[in-house]
Amino acid sequence: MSPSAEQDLGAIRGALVVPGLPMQLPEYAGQADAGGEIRERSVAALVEAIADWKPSAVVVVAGHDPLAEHTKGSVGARVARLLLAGAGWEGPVREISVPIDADPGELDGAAERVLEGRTATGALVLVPADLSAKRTEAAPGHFDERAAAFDAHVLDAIASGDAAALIRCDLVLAQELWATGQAPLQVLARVLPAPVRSEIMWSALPWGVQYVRARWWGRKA
Amino acid sequence: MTFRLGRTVFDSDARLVMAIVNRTPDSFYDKGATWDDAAAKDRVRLVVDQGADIVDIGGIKAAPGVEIDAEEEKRRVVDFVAWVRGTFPDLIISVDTWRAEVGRAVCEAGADLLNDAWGGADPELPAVAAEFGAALVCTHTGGVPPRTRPFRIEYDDVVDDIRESLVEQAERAAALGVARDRILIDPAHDFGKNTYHSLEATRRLGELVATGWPVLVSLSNKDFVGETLDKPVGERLTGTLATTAVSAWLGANVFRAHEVAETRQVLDMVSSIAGHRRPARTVRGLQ
Repeated sequence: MSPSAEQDLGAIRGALVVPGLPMQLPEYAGQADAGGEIRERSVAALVEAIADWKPSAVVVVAGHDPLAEHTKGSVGARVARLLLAGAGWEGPVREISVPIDADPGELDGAAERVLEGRTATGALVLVPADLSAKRTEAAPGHFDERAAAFDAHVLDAIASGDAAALIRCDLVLAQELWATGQAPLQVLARVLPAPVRSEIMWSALPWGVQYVRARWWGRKA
Repeated sequence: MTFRLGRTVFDSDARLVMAIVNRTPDSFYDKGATWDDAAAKDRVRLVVDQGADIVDIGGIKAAPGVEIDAEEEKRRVVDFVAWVRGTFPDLIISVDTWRAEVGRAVCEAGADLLNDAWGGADPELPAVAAEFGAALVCTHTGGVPPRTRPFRIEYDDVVDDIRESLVEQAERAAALGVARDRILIDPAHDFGKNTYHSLEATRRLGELVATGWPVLVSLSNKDFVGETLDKPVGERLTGTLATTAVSAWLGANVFRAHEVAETRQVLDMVSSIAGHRRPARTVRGLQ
């Protein structure tokens, strides 16, 4: 960590994008913990990010389905809590929930709430977010020929830290492709518009859903 | 309430497969398939691989036939029990016998459970189980002698008769020193029963479960399945498995079976429906 970064008071230290699939939750595991490897690798990534960035707080940005009638809370937020517990995080946590069908105004509002949470020594933004769920015939949303290109665009934007490209993504198309992570990713793009570094750690579509684990390093003051 | 077989303690929601291993040349279903020593050993290896919790070794077929004395019965099963004990130290070994003399010999060879399939025909058998710390299955036969078929038998209420007989046998076994958590009860479908009796015993199995004694059911390919579906031996698996599922749902704990893999699947499925067992692997809708 450079001295200048240490003095980057008030900045977001960085963001970690992780898969948000419910299969990671223990209550949904079978005898074989099918989501266990994804979860444990995300925990490891979170441990590493916390060690590198030494944040004073974590802000979770998770999407929620506004049509859901249950009271369990969003899967993304529950996954984030699980990862934070797994990583041994005991500091403050704020959860910002954004509708998965959010319009730009709602996305702006969510971004403002994230930034309100900045602390003197910087926060880590944790973003459970998945891309399209229509990549194969067996995918939850069946095959949609537009999905591959959509995912490629989002993955390129994440890999290159191109927040503007993320924001340019078609929100309606994202909805049609069941890309439930698009809204939280767009909030991330709003709060970290110029990451100094970006990296995709892993991406795959084992069940026809595009997952990604990625880091964005925070902007300088 | 828990129960114990061998060194293992089982919860009241356990659903165990007891694999039939006949050391007979003439049993109704396998017709001597495991009469040969090597074939019987292969059968044990197979059923262990298929998920059997218990093997039930029998030296005399249930149906009438050539008389087999205790010496011959022991020749058929004792050394084999010793082999199973040595080869599969943790496998629960049951022996299907009504004779105390045979029971003693197989317990010395390592048997964990005496399956008294003829309902106390030899009143000394529970004392043998007690002496060796073995478990005991008490069965209802309606009072018929070993190796006889039911003939014009009737009950005012078959399930009442089953329950009263089994509870009496279980209490007697306990009084003779068999550990209370090593006593099971078996309504013994087809034994001393016509098809209607066996169907009613299945339908009202919950009344036997309610006694608190763990319930064993022996349904596999039996005549009541065959008569119900009009299917000969060899075409009764579906009916057997349907009865297995219903019995499992109603609370039976041990299922004596020829087809172990299929029975295991049915019991696992019922256990998961009942909320007692997690599915093997869950992905659907959770990606």
